[in-house]
Amino acid sequence: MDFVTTEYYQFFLPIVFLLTIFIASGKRKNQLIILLLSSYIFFWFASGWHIILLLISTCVDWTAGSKISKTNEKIIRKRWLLASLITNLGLLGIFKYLDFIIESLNLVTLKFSESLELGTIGLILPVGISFYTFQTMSYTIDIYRRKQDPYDSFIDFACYAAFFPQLVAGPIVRSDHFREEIKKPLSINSSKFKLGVTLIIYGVAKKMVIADNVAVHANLIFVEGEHLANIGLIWWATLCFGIQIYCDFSAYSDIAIGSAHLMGVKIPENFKTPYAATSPQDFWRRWHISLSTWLRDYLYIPLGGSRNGTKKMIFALMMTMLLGGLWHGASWNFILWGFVHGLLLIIHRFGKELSPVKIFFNNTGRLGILVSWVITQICIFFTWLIFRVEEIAILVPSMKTFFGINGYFDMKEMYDYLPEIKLLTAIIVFSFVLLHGISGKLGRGKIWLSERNPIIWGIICGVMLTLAFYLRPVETVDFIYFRF
Amino acid sequence: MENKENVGISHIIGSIISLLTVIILITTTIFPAMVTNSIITSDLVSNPTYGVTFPALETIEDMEDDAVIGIGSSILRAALDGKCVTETLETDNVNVFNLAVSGANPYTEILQIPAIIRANPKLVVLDMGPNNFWNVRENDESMNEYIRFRFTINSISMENSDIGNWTNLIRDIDKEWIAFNDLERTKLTQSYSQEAVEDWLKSMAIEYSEYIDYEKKYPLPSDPDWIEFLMSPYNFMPKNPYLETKSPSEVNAYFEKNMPSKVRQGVYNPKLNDTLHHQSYEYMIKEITDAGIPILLLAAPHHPKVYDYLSEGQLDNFNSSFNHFLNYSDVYGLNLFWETWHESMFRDRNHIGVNGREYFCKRFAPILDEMISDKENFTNILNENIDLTNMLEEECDGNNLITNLNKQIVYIEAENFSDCSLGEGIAFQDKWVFKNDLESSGSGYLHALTEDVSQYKNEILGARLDYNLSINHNDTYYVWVKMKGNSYGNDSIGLKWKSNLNSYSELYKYDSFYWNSKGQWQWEPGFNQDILEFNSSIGEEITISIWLREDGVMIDELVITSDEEFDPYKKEGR
Repeated sequence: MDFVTTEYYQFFLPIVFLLTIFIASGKRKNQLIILLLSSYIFFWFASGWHIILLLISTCVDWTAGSKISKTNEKIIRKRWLLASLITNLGLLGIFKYLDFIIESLNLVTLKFSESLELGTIGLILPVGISFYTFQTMSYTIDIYRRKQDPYDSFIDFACYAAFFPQLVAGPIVRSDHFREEIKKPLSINSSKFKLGVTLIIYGVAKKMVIADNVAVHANLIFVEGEHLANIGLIWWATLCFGIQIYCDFSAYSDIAIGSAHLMGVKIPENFKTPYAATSPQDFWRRWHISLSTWLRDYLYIPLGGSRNGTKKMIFALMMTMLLGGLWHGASWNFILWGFVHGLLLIIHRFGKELSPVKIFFNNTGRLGILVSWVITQICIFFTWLIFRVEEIAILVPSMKTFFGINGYFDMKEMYDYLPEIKLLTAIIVFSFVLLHGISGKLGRGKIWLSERNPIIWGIICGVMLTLAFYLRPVETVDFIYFRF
Repeated sequence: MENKENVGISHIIGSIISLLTVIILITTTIFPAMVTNSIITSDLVSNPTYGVTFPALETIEDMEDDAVIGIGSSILRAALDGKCVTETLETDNVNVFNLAVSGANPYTEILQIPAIIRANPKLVVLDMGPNNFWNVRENDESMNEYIRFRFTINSISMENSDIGNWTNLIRDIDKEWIAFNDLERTKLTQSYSQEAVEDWLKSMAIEYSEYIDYEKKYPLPSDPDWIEFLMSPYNFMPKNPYLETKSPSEVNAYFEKNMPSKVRQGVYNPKLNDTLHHQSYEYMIKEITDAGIPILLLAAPHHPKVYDYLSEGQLDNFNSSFNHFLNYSDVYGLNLFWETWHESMFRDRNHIGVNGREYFCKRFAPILDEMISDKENFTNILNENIDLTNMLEEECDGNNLITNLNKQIVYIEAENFSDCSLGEGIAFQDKWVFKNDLESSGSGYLHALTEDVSQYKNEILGARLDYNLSINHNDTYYVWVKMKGNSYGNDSIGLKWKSNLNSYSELYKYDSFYWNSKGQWQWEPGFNQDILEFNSSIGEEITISIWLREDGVMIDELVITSDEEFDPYKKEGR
């Protein structure tokens, strides 16, 4: 079960909503027990026996948080923190990275006469492991840093760790924020209800109409790996994938935030029109905000990025982005993706201080903004190309073609090769670009919609839902961030 | 994320009502219409006839004229040219519709019965051949896939009122593909909606891009040629000629390859009773006749070579089943299966071709007339002994004239041919017909008929005219033909010559030029075409043969001349 299955909307969400908000109304503890059990049921349907890993992570971090808070002895505090980090990173290491490490070792030792040739384990990646481990790790780290107290109740903490709307693919919620949200009995008013429903409809439409349709084009080109020298095809596929990943992931976040709203819990936003960004730094303030702030607070700053001079900053920035890349998946293209992003951030950090650059932007006004937007977006979309293509044999020629190296432009070949649904996809792509531009300019689209009168709201949401139903591809595409 | 103001419960209820209203409006109007139209007009499904059934029956229901509706498999679809039958009928105000569907079997056709009854036709022609009594196996994946497809397509365009007693016959595994209510219909519609939208976008954008490939292949109910399409679908499936163009050895090879395995299959090994198809026939016949609509069971013939592969008694169960259903009140039979039709009438093993269709039309129309006009006294014509000779064996007689080339320029009237032959194979029904016309040379001209826009190109299949010549002196001779096309401009003939000493020459093509407007005779060959020329000696007998290359072409006269510079428009030698 996930956010695009009918079971979620037909049974799970309404039942949990009714039980939490109406049946257990005013009884905070009962509400949290309902939410916890519902979350485990949700996770069981999503990931089966991997629920054990979630329970291990929850128990270890709950214990570590309690133990750290109860003592002032540095060594004991450190030991429990280490226990938490080792458990969470160990789970990640084994289930997410072990096979990658083995394969990389085999690859490296191929050059030597005595190759290791270790066999891979073939473990299935547990759903949401990257999200809930980061979430619970931040809990123990914050207690260790004395930034917050531990939760009073295990139920509360377990509910924080397993809260079903954000369990599988975020947003990564901080423990102090969640604690504030569940401090009082959970309740909603009509406005919150309408906002929650609006967000869910908005997310469903974004996922099914936009993300899943453009995915068909991106997948064809980057998986089949044909006509890779056709510049038009590579740019189109990259554009499609950039739109897909944003609409896919932000749709999940919208549905998660909307579902949480229905349970009376507010979850912070994860995206703010990222393709309106005019610099790499601006992009990371708008893209996957819960991860970028997590990386900033628990990696970049501890590595000395915010102070200690240029070298430390460059090191911290690059390490943060490399690890951020690795967080997305156990593959070299994700590391390269992180590296290129690190590089872009460093270039931007120093480039903007150069006199010619300063003079240009100080004197060009809106044109300067447009230029910086174009450059930023070309760079961002280039990184999406790296992100999407794991196969080196496809990645390298695609990267060359992206910049026109050894490439050609053949519109007919492009048209003939693209999947059968072409015009609809083209309209979807251009509509997205237009709407994203308007949204970047005006913002608050979802809030605006939820505040409309019943007729306008009904028309817009009705159209979105029917389009989601009728225009989705025959085969549903899984949420991309499920893999992470 | 939080919105500004709180709203009341009435606002929420209003919003939900508004939302549901919009959803219902869109799901019941725009998308179903788009999908239904797209299923009919384009490549959304491999053959538009799959989606035509219900819109067709709705049209027939709304028509004032009486209707005869044929339903069944591609065998009936290939046989029944509704337009031809309608035009051949002596009874007025009766239209014959061919709603048979490729691949159909009795079970797949039961869904349309309530709609057929609503359409209230004068008669239903029900396809019933030996291929309709096999056992439907649940593990036959390809058949299950076909059933799934047909039921889905029909469910999209049918209405809740089309749910009838046929539901009792539906297998459990097929129920998923039938819309028993609007919600289920919406779900099934969704499976084609994306392609339908793409189709619609293509139709809108076709003018703006050379890359877009869109062709509206079939008419919609709102189009003027819709009715004609329902009578005579453009593609009498299967579409193109096949066996008609093969040589005898190729035809034999075809049957040697296909029949040994085919005769072991269910289509030639009918069951006696109790199959799903028997039950489906029972349902269809009972429902239709209970509604006061008579049924004509029709078993179309198969290629004559098929019968060589059948064992004695192999189709007894078919005969028994056919007879069984004939016992029902208001049910009549036309069993042509045991008749032996000419090979050239078949496109393949079991589908009638172009020639057969025309013959079937001639044969069927009087029967239909009799049935419609006097149903009460209509005799059961099962196994009636019918002499096909008159209809199959048309003769072509020449006048054995020999034209003496005793002048440098000799004119020959087209109708003064020495010998002739009817077309062969696909051109079986084509012939040269003399037309009286005072404005033509002599008393008239020859017109290549039938005019159904057939083209035989370089195949020597069309009807032939021979002009025998007697040579009086050694020379090189040139052949001119005065001709015109019936279609705007382009109709053509093929020419060869032979002598009593040699076999036929290569084929020459004389084409009426495209700028030659209808109604003007032209001397051919014109610009940039090779003229037929031959060297001949005294005493030699020469034959000039002319073949119908494109039907509709007309020829008025020929000139045989030894003058290389001859200009036919100067009327030299007249």
